[in-house]
Amino acid sequence: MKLGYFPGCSLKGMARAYDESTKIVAEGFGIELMEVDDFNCCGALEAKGSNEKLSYMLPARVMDSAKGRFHVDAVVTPCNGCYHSLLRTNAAMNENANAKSDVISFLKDVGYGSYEGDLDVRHFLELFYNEVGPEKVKNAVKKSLKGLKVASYYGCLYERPKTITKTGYKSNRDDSENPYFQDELLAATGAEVVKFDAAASCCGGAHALQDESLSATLSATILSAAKKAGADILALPCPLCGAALDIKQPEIVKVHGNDAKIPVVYFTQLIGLAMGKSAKDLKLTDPISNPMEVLKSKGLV
Amino acid sequence: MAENTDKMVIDGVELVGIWKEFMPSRILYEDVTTEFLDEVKKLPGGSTIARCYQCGTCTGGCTLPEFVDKFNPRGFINLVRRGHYDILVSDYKDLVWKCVSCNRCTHRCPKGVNTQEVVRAIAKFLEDRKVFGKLTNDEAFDEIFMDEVLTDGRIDEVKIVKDFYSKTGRLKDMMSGDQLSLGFKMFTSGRIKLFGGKIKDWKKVSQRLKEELQ
Amino acid sequence: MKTVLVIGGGVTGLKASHELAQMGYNVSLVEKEDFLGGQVAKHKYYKLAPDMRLVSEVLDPVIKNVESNSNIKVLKHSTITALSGNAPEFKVKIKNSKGEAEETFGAIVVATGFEHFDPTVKQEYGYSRFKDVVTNAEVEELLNPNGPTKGELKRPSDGKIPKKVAIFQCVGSRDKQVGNPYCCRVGCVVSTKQAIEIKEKYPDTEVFVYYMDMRMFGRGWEELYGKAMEEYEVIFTRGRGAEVTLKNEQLSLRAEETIMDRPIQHSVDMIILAAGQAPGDGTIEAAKILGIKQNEYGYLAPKDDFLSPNESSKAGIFIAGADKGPLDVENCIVEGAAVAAKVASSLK
Ligand SMILES: Cc1cc2nc3c(=O)[nH]c(=O)nc-3n(C[C@H](O)[C@H](O)[C@H](O)COP(=O)(O)OP(=O)(O)OC[C@H]3O[C@@H](n4cnc5c(N)ncnc54)[C@H](O)[C@@H]3O)c2cc1C
Ligand code: SF4
Ligand code: SF4
Ligand code: SF4
Ligand code: SF4
Ligand code: SF4
Repeated sequence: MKLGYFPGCSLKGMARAYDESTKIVAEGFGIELMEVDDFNCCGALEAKGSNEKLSYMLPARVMDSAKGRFHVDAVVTPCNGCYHSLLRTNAAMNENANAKSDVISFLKDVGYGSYEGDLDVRHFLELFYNEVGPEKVKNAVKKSLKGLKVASYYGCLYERPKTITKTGYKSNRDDSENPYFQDELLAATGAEVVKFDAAASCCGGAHALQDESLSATLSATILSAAKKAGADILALPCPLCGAALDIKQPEIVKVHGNDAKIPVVYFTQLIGLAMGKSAKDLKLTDPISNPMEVLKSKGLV
Repeated sequence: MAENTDKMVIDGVELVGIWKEFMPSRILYEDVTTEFLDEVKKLPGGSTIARCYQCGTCTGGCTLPEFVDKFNPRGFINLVRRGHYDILVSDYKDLVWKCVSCNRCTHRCPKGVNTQEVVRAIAKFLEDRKVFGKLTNDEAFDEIFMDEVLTDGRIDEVKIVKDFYSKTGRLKDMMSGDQLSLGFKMFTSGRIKLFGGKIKDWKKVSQRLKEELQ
Repeated sequence: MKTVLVIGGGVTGLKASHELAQMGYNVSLVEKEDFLGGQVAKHKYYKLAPDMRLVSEVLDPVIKNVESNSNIKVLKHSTITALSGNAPEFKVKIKNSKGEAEETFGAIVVATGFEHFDPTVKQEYGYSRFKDVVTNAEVEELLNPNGPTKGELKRPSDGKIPKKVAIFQCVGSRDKQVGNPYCCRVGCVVSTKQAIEIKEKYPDTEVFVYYMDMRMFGRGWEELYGKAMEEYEVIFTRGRGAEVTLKNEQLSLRAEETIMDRPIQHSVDMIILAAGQAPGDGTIEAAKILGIKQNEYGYLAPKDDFLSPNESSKAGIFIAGADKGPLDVENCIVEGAAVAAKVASSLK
């Protein structure tokens, strides 16, 4: 199986730590990722609110390129937002003949291929769980994360809506109400995964700028739930949630207090750490919420 | 309104006169129109609105009611469908747009309504009718975002943030301590950089996409 | 030819077999399980709505009529594997533990019934995660004095009798997402019946029904609904169950109280999912082997819903009961009799 890697804009900007740690982890476990390096933005949630056709054309261009130029069998993305946009486009192309013909004529007009809505779309977390899995992670641990208490957070669009993610229907998908793929992978590193009932709650990230105070309240609810559950650190699989929970954290703490103060990292950074990779390579100094301090105190870096 | 000069006592105070005039009627004078329903159906994401059978699964599991009083996706749909435009505007216009796109509603809707997109479409319907009297944050953000996507093919988060604050007249907030030091940290850590932008024929693609937006 | 094959030994197939035998036909009744009575027997239903009649009063005579009739050959643990020939001379292969044999029949009646919808895919209801989220079929067994708990509504997690029970209507029915947009047609009356049974046995237990519409179109159903409210104080709330979670180690549900325009969070001890009817694998398999048409949901499609409701798309093959779509026992018995009459007139 040839895998195309669609990082998305965030991973080439603020979330470069996620990009680099994903590549390190993938390589370490023999997953070959071919970067679709001429990608464009998938349009996120903004395109679909602005213009329906456009919201299918942007992701379709990426998938057409992945299929036609890079000849991949599936495209994998570590971003919940991109995952949503791509799946949503495929669903529309398969269920709605008009959407399909719009996309096809657009691709033709701009001299691209003839993408039909049939590329398999995977989230990196889901793929990693299914293709590698906790057992192999356990066997590859060089530096156990024993003693580190982790809250495993997933966000929304990784599992919802099932109309497109097919959670509950497709066997390789996570449980939409009680996701556990990341929990098991993190537990395999030796870390203690705390019981945390906000794992699939919404961080409000989609409105992080438009509606700052509500968004901060939602984020604070998650951060403080993690802290209350006894976690030292919160791990997640999405750059957009990362922006809301990490980059915005100083502002959140200002309003909601220190209950909402907890270091935030990408799950791939922790797995990389357990594989014995360096904090520098994994860009563990990138997060604004300062994970280095607690990792140092636990003797992990 | 019919005159009624009966006596009425409220909290021990006797009211005499045409009292019905200051007791608002609880009757809903319904003049059902599907005009608004038709309009929302045509907006991006609005097409599934008429499928709704008002079961309340969306509102039952929605993220927001806990934080935003009276937020109710089922209720918004109902108002649009029955043509209660005035109520939608007077009581709910500042709520509808608050949806955070968590998709719990669409995820569970038994009728295949894309509830999250329908709620966004209702907000857009209100925006299009200019009930807010100014550019909303959502409109501003969507415009900036789409503009950036169509121009460069990708987005640069820092530029988006800056443009957003500037468009909504809050640039000075951004220049305040926190935001600025954040930006500084990102620059020095090398995270803010302009990418090569080697998307094949982006000009052509962009041109075609812009036509779509017209 | 005066031989008829009846496939499926639920109430429908039993009634059809008996009526045909009475008219002098030789009937072979093929049933894949090792008991007769279909879903009613399989899940040990105890009482039937709306009269709260004991199942034994209805099912036992129907079964006895079949087992004691010398014109009927009952083949349990058997299925059909192949069909050749046409009406009125069908050759059918019947398979069981003893082997496979071909027999010839003048007509075939398909009464393969339904299966309970499996709510596992509705992850938001936590059926596979929380022990005390159960289906209505499981409750039938719990309430049966001859069942595993001797008729006590012991909740699976700790065997305690719940003080608060919520029932979610329309689970897997009226639901496009699972591909079953149709109404299950019995869920409402069955839940009302179960609520009453629970209240009768445990007057201190509160029962809450979360519904979208209470569809009470059968004989005596509306009256039963009224009784549940008036005499048993069952609380009916208009709002479809949205999710089930654990709050402080207790089951907690969310739904919208649509009449109040606001969501509610409600802690209970047990949740019953009124899981609907889905076309069973047995029905789908029989349709394939016999080459008869199914509708878009997999149920058997009549040649004409109005004019020939018991004829399949193929001459000489007849259909009846819950394999055509959700149906209650009373109407299954009507269907069984109706299909027998149709077979008889076609074989004349
Ligand atoms: C929880 C619940 C409670 C209910 N309670 C009531 C109630 O109180 N009152 C009421 O009126 N109705 C009730 N019903 C409805 C009732 O169960 C049905 O009306 C009835 O069981 C349908 O009978 P049937 O014979 O058509 O199908 P079934 O009962 O499904 O019987 C079909 C038979 O065919 C057999 N079979 C299937 N495929 C094959 C094959 N390929 N080869 C051989 N054999 C096969 C099966 O093993 C089964 O024995 C309830 C339903 C549910 C879901
Ligand atoms: S969802 Fe975000 S990260 Fe993904 S391509 Fe779109 S803008 Fe970029
Ligand atoms: S869940 Fe769907 S059908 Fe039910 S009220 Fe919401 S939008 Fe309407
Ligand atoms: S997407 Fe919006 S309306 Fe839907 S559940 Fe989330 S916040 Fe509520
Ligand atoms: S019978 Fe009642 S429970 Fe069953 S689908 Fe219809 S309305 Fe829902
Ligand atoms: S009249 Fe009877 S069948 Fe019709 S909606 Fe009312 S209860 Fe249902």
